[in-house]
Amino acid sequence: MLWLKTANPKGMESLYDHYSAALYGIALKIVPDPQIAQDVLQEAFVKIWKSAGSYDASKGTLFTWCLNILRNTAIDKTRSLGYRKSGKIQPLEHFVDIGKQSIQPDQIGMKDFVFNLEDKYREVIDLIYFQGYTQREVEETLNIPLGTVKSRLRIGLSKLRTIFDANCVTLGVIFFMLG
Amino acid sequence: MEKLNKNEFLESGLLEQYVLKIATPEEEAIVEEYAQHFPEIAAQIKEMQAALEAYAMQHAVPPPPGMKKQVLSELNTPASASRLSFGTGLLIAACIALALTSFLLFKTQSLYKVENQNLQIAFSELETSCLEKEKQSEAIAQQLHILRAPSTKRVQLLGTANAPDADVAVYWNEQEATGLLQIAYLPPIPEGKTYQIWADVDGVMINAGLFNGENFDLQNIQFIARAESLNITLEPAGGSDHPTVEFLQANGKV
Repeated sequence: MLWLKTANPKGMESLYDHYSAALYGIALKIVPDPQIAQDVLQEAFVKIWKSAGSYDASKGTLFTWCLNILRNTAIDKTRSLGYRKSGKIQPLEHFVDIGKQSIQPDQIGMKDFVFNLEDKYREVIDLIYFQGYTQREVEETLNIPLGTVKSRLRIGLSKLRTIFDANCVTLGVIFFMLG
Repeated sequence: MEKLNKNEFLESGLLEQYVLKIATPEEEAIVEEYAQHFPEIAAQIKEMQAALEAYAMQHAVPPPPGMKKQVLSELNTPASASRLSFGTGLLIAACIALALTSFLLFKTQSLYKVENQNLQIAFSELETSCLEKEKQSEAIAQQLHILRAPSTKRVQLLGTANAPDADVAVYWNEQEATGLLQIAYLPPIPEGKTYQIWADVDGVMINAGLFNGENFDLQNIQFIARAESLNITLEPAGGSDHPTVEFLQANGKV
């Protein structure tokens, strides 16, 4: 990941190739307007580029770090546009639907696996991972006890771990190596 | 926070908070401590992170094709260079366009102003020359009218001994009180002299005006009523009140 520290443009291009689609997909979940989502994506890449030196591999994966930057950029944008007053976004039904629609099960032949993750786990993970909610906000939004939020997260993540087996992990590792 | 055993830790939900990046810095430190102690926890963290990433990839939507170039070109711009938003750029472009248009309009206007002045000058010149021609035309029409009038007499003035070859015709019209003079030949005028014509009325020579001895067009002269003869003399420049008879050049009976 030396290229990131030295802000090497080639590395940035590779990062874009690997992550732009995933980040754009998440941006679309937070700001459904494609034009604004594209602005968010662009701003996020500039921030990633400028703060590349502050990435700490021991604190998490590069993708999660990029995702955090994108999410913050998107949330700032929704606030500046007045979409979002506190940490919360729109009514639940809206983004749960979007979450379903934007899944592309044909990709990498994962159809069955993704559908094996039940909605109750997915909505908790989606709200936190994609939308930047805190557990407390999930508790309020979904109207379920904090304990349930935590257990659904744990079970959901463990299910995800089984779904994306060792092959996928290898694929992810290769992504980082390429980066 | 009291020390949890490995299973209690796994049940606490801290691990999930950690991989989802919603743990506090203190919680992160605890997780990292456990990960150092238990390699299986470290492995589990890596797997969860990878699974989340793979999950995120499932939601991937390719950005528009032009986006990559745009992003990369943005990155290649030096960070110090202040970047203008699209709106500001548009505003500046509009200002420049406006300034250019104004300048062009101003230039065009001054150009038209000059052109207009030139046209005005040309027009007034044309107008003047037109009026002159009109006057000339009227004068010629008047002369022609006199020449054609039956009441006009043609008076032939022939040279005296002073100027034997002199030959001048005067068209004399009593009704119109007009005299026209046409030189056929008069000797060149000496320096400081002028030709003058006189009408003899009852033995008195009356001045009928100076005329140009080198003009071979019809010239108007003063009409004198009851003139019996017309006489041309050479006089000092400016003319005389009384004719200098010894310099009589030509004469003829009316």
